[in-house]
Amino acid sequence: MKQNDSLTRLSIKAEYWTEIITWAVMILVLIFIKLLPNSILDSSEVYLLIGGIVGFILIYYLIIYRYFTRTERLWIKDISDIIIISVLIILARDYGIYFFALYFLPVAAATLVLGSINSLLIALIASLFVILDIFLGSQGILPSSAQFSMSIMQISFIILISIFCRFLALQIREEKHARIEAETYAKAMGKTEKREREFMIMTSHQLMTPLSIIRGFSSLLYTDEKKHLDKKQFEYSKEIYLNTKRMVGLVNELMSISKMRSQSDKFKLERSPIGTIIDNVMQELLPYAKKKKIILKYDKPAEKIPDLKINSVRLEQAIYNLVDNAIKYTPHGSVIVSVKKYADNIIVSVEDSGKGIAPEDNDKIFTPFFRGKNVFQEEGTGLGVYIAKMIIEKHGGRIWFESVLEKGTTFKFSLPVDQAIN
Amino acid sequence: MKKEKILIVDDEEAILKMYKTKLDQEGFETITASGAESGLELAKNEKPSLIFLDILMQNYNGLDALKKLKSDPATKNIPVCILTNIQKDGLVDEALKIGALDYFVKAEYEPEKLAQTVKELLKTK
Repeated sequence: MKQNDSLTRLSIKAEYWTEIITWAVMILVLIFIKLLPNSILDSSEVYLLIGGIVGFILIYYLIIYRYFTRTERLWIKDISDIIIISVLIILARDYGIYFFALYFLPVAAATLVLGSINSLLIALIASLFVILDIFLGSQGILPSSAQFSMSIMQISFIILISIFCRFLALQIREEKHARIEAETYAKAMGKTEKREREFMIMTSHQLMTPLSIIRGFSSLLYTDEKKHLDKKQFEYSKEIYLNTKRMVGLVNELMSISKMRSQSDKFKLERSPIGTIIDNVMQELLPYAKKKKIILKYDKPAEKIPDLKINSVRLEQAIYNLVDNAIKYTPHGSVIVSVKKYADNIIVSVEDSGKGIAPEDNDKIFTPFFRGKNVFQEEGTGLGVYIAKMIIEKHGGRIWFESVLEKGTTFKFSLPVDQAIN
Repeated sequence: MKKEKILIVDDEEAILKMYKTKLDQEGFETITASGAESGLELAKNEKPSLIFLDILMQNYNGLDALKKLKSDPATKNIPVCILTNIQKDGLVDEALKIGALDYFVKAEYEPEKLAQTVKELLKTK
């Protein structure tokens, strides 16, 4: 929000200075006309005109600037510019083409705030119009500059050029603002990301300290060789120990997410058999499946699956999350894991006969902390699938799912075959 | 047989108590300091076989304490391991560069695991 405010201030500041310079140049032109020999203006007329311009500036900033939108202000300013320029041309009509060029000065000067390159571009285009006017005048298509008169055609021509230059100046300014906005946003994002990373590190530290203490002391109880604890105490200390260990894992997960999201956290890849990784996950989660009376099965492939160049710790984490979720959200039935080679990919699937995913939740499944309405009662953080997706994508793979409500879900992920080492 | 002396420097009393309990059980003589300054003093006077040093302590950065230990002739040869919960990219390298023997994360190092690690480290000393 603060960032948007600063951008708005930046934009208003640029607009403010553009208008100030435009009007200042107009007044200087008016004074210049007065100082010319044989000037048709006398001093009182010059003061009157300068007073008129200053009066308009005051009205502009006190009323128009406050109560009109930016687009409305720009229209009012365009119209006022054209009127003032037309007055200047009328006043300078006896001085030929040199004064005809004068009205480009305010427009060119206004672009100075946009940078010299843009200013030169506008001045060049304005000059081309002057040359065109001379040419058309010499050909008798327009009244010649030497016999300058305020014909309707010439006035229209001037207005057209004025609007064109104005439009061009505004467009360049918008582009400049967009660029500044993008740069400011990128800088702000960089700073925010750094702050978030620091915050995550400190949060992790503050959480880890009490967790280390609980984990450490519960492990002292749990592994007490002298068996000071009775059966119940032992069970309780075991639960405290195991759950604290789990909590440490969760904090580490959050740290991993933070790392994977905030920087080019490159995995250390090494040759590993994916079958062993799946076996490990099966072994770890078998007691959980048994407890829930779920059949947990790994359908080993008939064909040989080549070893993959992977980060086995991370990939095990991804598969663990998918299988753990499958067991968690399957009240009865089975969870089957399989792996196969298909074309240029190795595909791992985790199929369950569980609660399924409601169609309206399909788009949100990979969103962090999202939990489907039909599984909200179950324990969980809503990070498992999200982390799995991050890990798979970090390996250059893709993850997707198919689901039928109350029938089951199959999560699949592919790893490109160039990850494989034959 | 003389017991090996282990110094743990950490501003969390519970952490000190937790590791001391296990290390004492395993036959070490564990001395503790709840601040970097007292830790530096103990290191100089007691000449422990191994020091475990936290990084984030009140009013003191453990890495500064490590620098002092490594620049003092009386303590520079004592192996120092960082034992912290700070997991920040580059911090491990920085600690090793200053002269730490190893870098351990407390949350991953239960008393039992730390005791095993101490035995291994002292064996290779």
